[in-house]
Amino acid sequence: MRRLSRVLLAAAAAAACVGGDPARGPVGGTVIIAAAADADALLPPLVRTSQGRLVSELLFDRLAEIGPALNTFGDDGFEPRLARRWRWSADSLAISFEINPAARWHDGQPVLGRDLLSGLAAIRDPANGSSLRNELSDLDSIALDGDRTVTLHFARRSLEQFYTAARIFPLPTHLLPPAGAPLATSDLARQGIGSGPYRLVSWEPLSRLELVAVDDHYRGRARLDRVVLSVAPEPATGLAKLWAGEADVWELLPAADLAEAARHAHVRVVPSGAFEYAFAAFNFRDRSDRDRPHPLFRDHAMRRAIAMAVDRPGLVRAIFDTLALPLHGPFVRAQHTSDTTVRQLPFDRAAAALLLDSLGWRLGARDGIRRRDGRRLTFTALVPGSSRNRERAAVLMQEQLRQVGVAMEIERAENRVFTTKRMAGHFDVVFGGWLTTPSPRGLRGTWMSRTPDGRGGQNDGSYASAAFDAAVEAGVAAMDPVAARRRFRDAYQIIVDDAAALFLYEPRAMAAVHTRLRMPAWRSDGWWRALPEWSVDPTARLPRDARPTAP
Amino acid sequence: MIRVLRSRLLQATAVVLVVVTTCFALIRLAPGDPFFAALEEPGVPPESAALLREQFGYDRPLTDQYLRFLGGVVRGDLGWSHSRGRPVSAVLREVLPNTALLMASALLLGLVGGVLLGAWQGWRAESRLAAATDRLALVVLSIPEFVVALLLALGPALAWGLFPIGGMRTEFGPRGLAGIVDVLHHLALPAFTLALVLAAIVARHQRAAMRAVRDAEFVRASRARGTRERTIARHALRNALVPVLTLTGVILPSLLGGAVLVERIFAWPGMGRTMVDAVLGRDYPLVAGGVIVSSIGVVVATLIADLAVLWADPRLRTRL
Amino acid sequence: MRRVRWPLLVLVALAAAAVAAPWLAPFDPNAQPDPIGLALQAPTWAHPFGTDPYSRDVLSRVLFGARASLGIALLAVVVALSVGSAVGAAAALAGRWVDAALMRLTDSVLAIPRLLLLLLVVAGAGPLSPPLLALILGATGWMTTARLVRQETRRLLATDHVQGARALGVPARRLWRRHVLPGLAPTLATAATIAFAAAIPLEAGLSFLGLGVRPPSPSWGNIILEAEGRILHAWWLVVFPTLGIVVAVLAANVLAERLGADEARTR
Repeated sequence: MRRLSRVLLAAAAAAACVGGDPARGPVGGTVIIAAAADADALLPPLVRTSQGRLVSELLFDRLAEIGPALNTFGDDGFEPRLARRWRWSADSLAISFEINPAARWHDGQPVLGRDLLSGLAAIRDPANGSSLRNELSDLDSIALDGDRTVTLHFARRSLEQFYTAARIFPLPTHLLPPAGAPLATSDLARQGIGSGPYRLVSWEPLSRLELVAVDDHYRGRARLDRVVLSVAPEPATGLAKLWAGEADVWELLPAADLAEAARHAHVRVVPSGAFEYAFAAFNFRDRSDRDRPHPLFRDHAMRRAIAMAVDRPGLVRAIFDTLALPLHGPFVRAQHTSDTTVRQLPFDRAAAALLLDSLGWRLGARDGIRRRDGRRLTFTALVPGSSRNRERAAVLMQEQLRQVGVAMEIERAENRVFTTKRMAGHFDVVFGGWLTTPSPRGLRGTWMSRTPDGRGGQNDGSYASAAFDAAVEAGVAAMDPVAARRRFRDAYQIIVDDAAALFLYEPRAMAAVHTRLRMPAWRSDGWWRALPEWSVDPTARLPRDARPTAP
Repeated sequence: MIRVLRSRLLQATAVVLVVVTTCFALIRLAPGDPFFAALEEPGVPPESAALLREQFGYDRPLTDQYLRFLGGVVRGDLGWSHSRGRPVSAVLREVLPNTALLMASALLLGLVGGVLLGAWQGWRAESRLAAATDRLALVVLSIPEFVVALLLALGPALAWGLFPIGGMRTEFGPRGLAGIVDVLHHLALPAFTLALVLAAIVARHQRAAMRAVRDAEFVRASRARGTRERTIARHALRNALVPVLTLTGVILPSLLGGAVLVERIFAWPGMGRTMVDAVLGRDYPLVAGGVIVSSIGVVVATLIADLAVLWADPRLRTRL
Repeated sequence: MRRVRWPLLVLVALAAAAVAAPWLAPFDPNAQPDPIGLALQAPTWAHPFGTDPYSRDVLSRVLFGARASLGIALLAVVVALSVGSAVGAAAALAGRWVDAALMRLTDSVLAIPRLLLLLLVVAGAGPLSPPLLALILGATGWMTTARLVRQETRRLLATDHVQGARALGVPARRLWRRHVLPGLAPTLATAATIAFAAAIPLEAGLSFLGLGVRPPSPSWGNIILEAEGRILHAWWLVVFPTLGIVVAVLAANVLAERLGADEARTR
């Protein structure tokens, strides 16, 4: 229970920062979100970035939604969404959901039980690369009982059974492309017809996206009329819009601009955490042939040497000042299994150098780069062009490695290219980031080797450790929170000792928002979660807040 | 006149042909065959990929491919943009008017400003101020457009908030006349940036041309006849305009290059920004389509400039 | 000759600074002494040009950046001059049809915005190494040279001097070497400075887009890139590399103009 109260405390702290005014504000208004990147996709199974999550979670509803306390055990605190009610079987190996008969897709068709099957099929299709795929491996089958009752059968019991089931987004079966045709290029992927409180009005890729509240939504109309995502690749441009009052939210305020934000009376700063963490993962497989081990990083000592040559806390300070925390493993602090006592590899340049020496990589060449049998000690780091912070981390790390005679080349790739290369394993080191969830079971997809399809799901570096897998599975299966926590701690320690990756930081991101916005508590598992509950102060309305006209 | 027009049109067509051929050559010579490799990317609908492969005849002999490529360009079919998930032509159709607006405003501002400044400098070549501004123009034309954008425009705009930054219009901004004013407000900085450098180049040529004309016999003769100075200046200006118009055609390509960077800095939703995004996203068909379309735009604009020269200098009409 | 002295001197000084960068630069251009405490420092005595977001010394980076920027431009000029002279001379010497075809080709390539052409190459080939970048800059910049060389060669061939030599039966190679090539030298010098003045901003622009010289190696363009989003907080990151660009381009422009003028006078 102590863990739970910690989570509660964290949520409460987040709420307190906002001011915690629980009074529901007035209705109506338009919020313009200036974002660093466009949504990468509209359909939940295809989404990878936080912008994509923002949009897809407004367009689509789940069966049930985790409550503000972020409890993932059992069904405590879960709020009904598409499912009007649910019932556990006596052996608790099955949960029956009854879909709300009032629930409609944005095209007017009713939401039915088969739509949950479609949603699950999209998650399980490897072509879609859904992050949920491996989290759902406990789910055995889904049975339809009439149009609107679905029963999920599980292969085994776990504390987070319900949470897992609630993570599936139903998809409109009648709009899906014919079998075999890829979902990503279907009409549905562009139209984003969902069941959520907002519908898509227009989408100009890489530039602008507009959502409007659904009038006859089964949960009632959202308080906020309209949400616009305006893409400003340059922070300067996005911030300028906010300072000028042209935008209402800039979601990632750089530390350098905190002072500037304080100078503008109409702007306030709120935490905008999203359960994100960033890392630099080694590829355990050859970048050109996944069947062969990586020439450098198959060697544990090499990975350790690289990890020990990098001053991670210093790096995090240099990029974020105090707006991020160094990681202790593949978890964020708000997860209930978080454990900051996991033993870390020390930052020790001399030891790293000795280790490299002992591996036969010797200094002495004029360029200051180590060589073995005439070959330079060099590798390429894949960095997403859309993440300025990870790019900076790469440049800082590049210089720290140069000091021990390692040449790290930086390959900056735009989002799509980055994702393609990452998924194909075309990299030596990847500066990745995962959006996690309140539950630690995401590890199954991101770092575990034994996955249903035999390949590592989103484990693009192909890290494979039987010990780690066993610890994670034991943690997921544990029916007691204390035992779960112990198992996960073991898993964290194993992966850190293995130096599978350099776990870099967890942003304590700050968003700058316009004071005209009235918002309830700010959710720590995704600031946009409460967006439908936002509204604009009637005394501070602008022309853009005019009620949208009917289509 | 019609004969001249026809010959110019023929020349322009030849130029377009060479442009398309150059692009084709670059596309086919590029290592790894990115145009067709792009079709293998995840996200390209298999039907479109198959269609494009068929259309551009991937497996056929090079001449055949070339003819098909040419045919595609003529039909306005430039391939599939996988980063936008739409045909290249649809993407370009959307952004082309925005770049045209930016270029036209920059040209108008730059040409008028440059011609007037240069004419004045040339006419008053002995004045200190004319010499000083001439040197300043030389400095200005030595600054790359993107630095002008960063220093002269972006800095003050950010610091003083005088101009909006990013995009073409205010979100849910006013419509009608006020909407046009809104667009102009957004247009001001990027257009000014491009116009500034253009004006500097034009002014320097105009100055030289004006000096030459000022000292020409017909001017001296009319001055001797006692014609009013302003009238003489006006006649001289018309004569000195010819080289400037010719120059416009020459500068246009580099102006478009400048627009690429300026659009990126000001987040202007035009060709330039689209192309840079396409390069970063390895969207080869979109880049190639953009190059072809903008080159055709340059050729057409040059043709117009040529015709304007003919209008300004009737003597040239008979020469062709 | 006196008129071209100062711009030439400026260019030589810049080149000397670039060559001597390892000795002139107070710091290693890639060293990050203290990314937390020393990042984005305004100019001080220790760091006259300030520091960048990684605490690297901007003066050292501008000096080393000159190597990349000037070196690439210089190599590009060599390529442009070689291709351009070949095309120009061939056009001037060959018959009507070849001449017309080559000149039409030159005009057409001139109609393609050069930056876009470069983007097309980069889109296909990915980020380029500096020599390759220079090669491609040169390969897209030969047109002006070709036109100038063609014009000048035709003029030279038509002079009484060369006509006379030809009438006297001087062999073609000797005629070319002794009479035409020396006459071309001023034109080539002008063409070189023009090509140089065009190459510098192009390289800077490409590097500013992140498509030119790859970090951490500095070039004037990618130093400016570090200022993106921080224009107001870090003006020194824009101003000092810009000074380098402007001085180099300005000197080349003035030189081109004066060489042209000198040439016109000697004619």
